[in-house]
Amino acid sequence: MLIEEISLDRFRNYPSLHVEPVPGVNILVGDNAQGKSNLLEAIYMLATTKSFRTVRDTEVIQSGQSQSRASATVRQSDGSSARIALTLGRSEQKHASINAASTERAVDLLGVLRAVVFAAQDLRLITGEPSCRRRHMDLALAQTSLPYLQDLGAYKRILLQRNKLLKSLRERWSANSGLDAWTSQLVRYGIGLLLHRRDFVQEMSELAGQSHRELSDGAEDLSVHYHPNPSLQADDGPELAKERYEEALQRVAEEELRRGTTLAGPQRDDLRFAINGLEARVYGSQGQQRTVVLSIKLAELDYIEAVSGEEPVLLLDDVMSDLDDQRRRRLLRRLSGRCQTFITCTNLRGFPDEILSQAGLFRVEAGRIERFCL
Amino acid sequence: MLHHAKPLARLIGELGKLPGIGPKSAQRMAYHILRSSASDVQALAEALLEVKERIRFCAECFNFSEEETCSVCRDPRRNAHVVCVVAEPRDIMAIERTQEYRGLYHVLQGLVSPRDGIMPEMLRVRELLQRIATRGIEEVIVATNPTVEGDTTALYLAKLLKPVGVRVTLLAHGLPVGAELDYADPATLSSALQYRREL
Repeated sequence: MLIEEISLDRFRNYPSLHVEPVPGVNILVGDNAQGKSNLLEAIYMLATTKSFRTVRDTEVIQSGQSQSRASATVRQSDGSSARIALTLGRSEQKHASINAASTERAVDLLGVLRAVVFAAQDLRLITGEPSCRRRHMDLALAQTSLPYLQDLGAYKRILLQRNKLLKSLRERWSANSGLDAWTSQLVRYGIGLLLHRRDFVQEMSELAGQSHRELSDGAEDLSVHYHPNPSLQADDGPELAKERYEEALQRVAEEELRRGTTLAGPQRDDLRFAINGLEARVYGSQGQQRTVVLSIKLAELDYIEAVSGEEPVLLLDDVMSDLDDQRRRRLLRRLSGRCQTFITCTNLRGFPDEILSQAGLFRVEAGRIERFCL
Repeated sequence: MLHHAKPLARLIGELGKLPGIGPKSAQRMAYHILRSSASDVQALAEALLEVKERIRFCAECFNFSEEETCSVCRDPRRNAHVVCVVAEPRDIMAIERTQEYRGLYHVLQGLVSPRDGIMPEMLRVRELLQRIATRGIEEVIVATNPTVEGDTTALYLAKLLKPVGVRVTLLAHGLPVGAELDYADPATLSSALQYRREL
């Protein structure tokens, strides 16, 4: 899929903006804090309705303004095109429209445009909290599976309700609180998340392993391991998963009442990455960890393409300078001729001529973007 | 800055408390009331007071009622062995519009939601158990919204009522009539598949 044009209105530091990117590689050059990443953020929000830089989506609204708007025309590989728009208001409400018809919920936007982002802070995927890794799974799966997205929405709501209930039971016990019913609901939607994530990681591990072998010139073997909560076997079906989840909740039942919160379930899942069998978080050098993240991102790209039949848009936010020459070249070689890519950087050093001669070059300065030629 | 005259500001303030009415709409409604004839305004004011004075909850089913019991509960042609459990009185109106259902109702007056402090004991559940125990009820149809809170309330009721020996059924979830398959969301469609029937 391709973004043919993108427009922003009162979004971050852009009062208004209109850009027509090229189908291949687009390079956004500029000093820091000029607005390069803001454009990538807007693209990602059109794909997922969420920012990749902040959990408070209202941060994108210019100060003193009541709302922000991003819109784009997206062409699919079958030639059809759609115009999508997302409007964000101060009180976190989002409105989406597809071809000028407004949708019931903003999440209806998902799947029209798909995007994979790799930003400098994505090293957190290795070194950060488990929540970073769960968020990574959620964003990739939400873009490819509507049932997952629906299960995730229901699960989060049930978890919130159940935690509130456990907290109030800690203060005042009641035998007739409906806790059993909330527990059944938690299990019902939780196993959907667990099984989806397990299958996703299995495929990711394979794809990331291929990417990593290429990027490391065959020197390193990368594998991704899913650590579900409750623990599952590789071939557990829904019935067994249900049993295991119920057993796990049974084991922590007393502790849950003491602590006033839910203690088992996919909200405590984690991922591990291993290079040649050693955990990347502990034993990997920073250079290795960066390459692992890049391999994961490329695997995400391959995964979304395999599942949806469309190449997603790739967003590389300020990561080129962190890669050594050799890896940068291997990456660009892998990308050339494939998906539409947006790269932000402070200068064009290190880009091979064959890339620069075909790329769309844009200079970003103080909330303005201009196309230029070398 | 110019302010509204006090009585007008008070009216706008009161109207603004209504659900779905923001300050702009409240102002528009207040201006409209000001422009209306004295008799229209009188009628509106009387209607407001009358509804509060005359309407109470039915002692049987907790629907809105003018009498001790509501018109459905008093109707001898209704099947008194079947009770349809709903969250709010407005759900009764929706089911009545089908003209299919001939049983009685029971209004829970809410759905369980710990987030909002609503626990089962705050709903009309005890009264439902009492009705089942004393009124010869054979089937309970649970007709709560297909939301997280509605489904959980239904599950809670099912667990509570099964041991009582009464038949408990849940409204089927499926495709809206006249809609296109293409537009159905996956959750609705998968539920429709799961509960498909023989042709």
